[in-house]
Amino acid sequence: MLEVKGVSKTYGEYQAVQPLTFTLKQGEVLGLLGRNGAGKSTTIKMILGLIPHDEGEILWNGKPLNRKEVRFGYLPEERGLYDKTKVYDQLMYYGRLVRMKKREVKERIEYWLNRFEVLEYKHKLVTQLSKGNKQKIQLIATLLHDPDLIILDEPFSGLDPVNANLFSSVIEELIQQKKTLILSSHRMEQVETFCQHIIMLKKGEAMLQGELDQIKLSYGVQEVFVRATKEIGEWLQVRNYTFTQKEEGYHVAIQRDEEAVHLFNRLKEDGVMVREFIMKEPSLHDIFVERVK
Amino acid sequence: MGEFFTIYSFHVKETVKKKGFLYSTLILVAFLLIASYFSYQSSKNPDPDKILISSHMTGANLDKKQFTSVFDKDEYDIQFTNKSDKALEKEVKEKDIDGAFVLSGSLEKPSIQHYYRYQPSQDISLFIEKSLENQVIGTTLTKANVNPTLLQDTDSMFQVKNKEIGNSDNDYGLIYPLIFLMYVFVMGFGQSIAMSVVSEKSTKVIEMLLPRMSAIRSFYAKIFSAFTSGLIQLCVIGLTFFFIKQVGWVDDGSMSMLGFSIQLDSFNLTTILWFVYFFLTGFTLFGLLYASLGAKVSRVEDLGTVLTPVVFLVMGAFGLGIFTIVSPESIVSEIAGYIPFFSPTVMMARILMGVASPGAVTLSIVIFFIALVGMTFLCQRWYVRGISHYGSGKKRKKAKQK
Repeated sequence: MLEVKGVSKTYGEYQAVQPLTFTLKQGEVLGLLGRNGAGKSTTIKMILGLIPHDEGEILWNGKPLNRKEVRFGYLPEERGLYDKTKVYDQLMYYGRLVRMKKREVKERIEYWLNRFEVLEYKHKLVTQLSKGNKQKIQLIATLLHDPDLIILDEPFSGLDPVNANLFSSVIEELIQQKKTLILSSHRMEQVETFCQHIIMLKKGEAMLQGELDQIKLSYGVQEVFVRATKEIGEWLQVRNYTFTQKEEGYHVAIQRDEEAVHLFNRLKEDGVMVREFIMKEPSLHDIFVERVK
Repeated sequence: MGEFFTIYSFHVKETVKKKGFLYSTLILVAFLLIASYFSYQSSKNPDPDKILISSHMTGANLDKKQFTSVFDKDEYDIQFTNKSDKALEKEVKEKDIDGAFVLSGSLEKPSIQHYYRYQPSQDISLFIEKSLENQVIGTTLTKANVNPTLLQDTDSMFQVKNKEIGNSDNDYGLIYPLIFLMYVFVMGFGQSIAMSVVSEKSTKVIEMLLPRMSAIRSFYAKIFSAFTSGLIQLCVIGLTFFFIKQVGWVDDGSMSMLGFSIQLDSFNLTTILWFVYFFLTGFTLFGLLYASLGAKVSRVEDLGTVLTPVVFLVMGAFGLGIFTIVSPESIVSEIAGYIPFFSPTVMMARILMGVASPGAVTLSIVIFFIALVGMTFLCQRWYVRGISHYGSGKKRKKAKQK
């Protein structure tokens, strides 16, 4: 279990991360969200021990996190590979650094190169690979040693849809294997798919944090989609509803869940034949835009 | 130790496999072989310098026999001629001959012109001067009714016999190549250490590595892998010299290269051991600086500025090393022998020239090791602090103050 307790970081006058607290149990996935410069990378680097934190403590299974005792798997946002080194040599080096036996590393390299469909690049220089394939090799380097805590910083950047699906399936496997995962991404739909917990950072401050389902529930319904047998634009206008007409229906903005029920009842009372009435929850994208803009 | 060895062996393999390393080694070997072969060939069959003497001096008595008995015919081809002053000047200018002497006037009022292109033939000049002086003295003594053979006695009375205790040619031919090698390798491989550090940082490889390894072990592994790569190249150079010696492309135990004589016969085990000791310690000291300063910048293009002070220190060590060969007992050499950044070249030169006392050597080594421990502590701190920080040093300083 990862426990981050009041961890903060300041650079001169600039507070990169304000005291941040969260807990992540084994097998849980945390989505770390925020715009560029929000403090995501600084938070990740403090967890990894790449930069020291000013205050607070970081615990792993109740003890101060020690790099020698925890197997980290870290995928940086920018490419972390030697360009002029062959893929196999590079992966072997990364594996040997975490004291894996040569034979074991060899087997894992074969497995992962096959899994990512890049076996033919085994003896190629990294510089000869495409951006997507480099990203695959980097993810292999991250997962090669079967890490306890996996931190993926923008894992989907630069991937085409096919490779993005491949990455998604690997991440799903990791979740099934009960790996503890921190995912930092701008792609809300991916975060929404994998993460139980989220933290939204803005200028180093956690604007929103908690379980994703609870957060969405607390936001309630903010929009209703209505499709009727006839035009109801004028009807909505007369009754001062804010709406937009698209997809052969009307998107009506509401403040609370009760308002939706009230709208449905009024339509029914006025004899409007409703064919479709959907109470829409806000997407993570909507929440993100609202909270960190 | 396992982690250190993994990092160390990875970097050694990476360096040795690089095309740059292979090409530079091949170029060095090819250069040594070609230069030594041509140097040997030219020293085996040297063309003697062609010197013409035109004597129109009244009363002067010079002939070819006098010259051929004194000068080596492999060195000089001396001929007498009646050609004019201008004709000889033209011949020298047009490289038909190497030099010319034109003697005119009389013994009482002599005029001697010496034409040459780059280097005057001092020994021939002196011989002509001396011969003419003897003739004048002989004539004067005859006029005064004194036996001219007495002149020979006076001539041989005051000859200084030079006896060199140290062998300066030997020292220069032995120590200069060692200092030059040390300078080239510290510069070249020091830069490669700094490049390796900053490129790992700029490509973010370091962010992948640091969660898996100790920054300090990586720091030392990089320095020693660069040292090993340098040593591999040095061994190849050593083997090339051995080959040159075996095939006999050396002249009297020395090898001329770019007009500079390398005394191969003077290399012995003591010399090699001192060189390896000073090379290892000097390389380590400068390697520490190169690695720690490489970690201070985030981009390869910023490396030049931050390394400038180290480059000056290395150049200083080279310059003072050369100065020590020329003036080993000067106060500058003596003091520089105790300064850690300069002692690898200066003290090595002083030891190999036999001018450093055991006390001075011990003191220099003690000072060096104290400085090495201090620098290790300091550079290690700079490296660990710099390696995962991006941005300018100013920002980091500001952050630290806060």
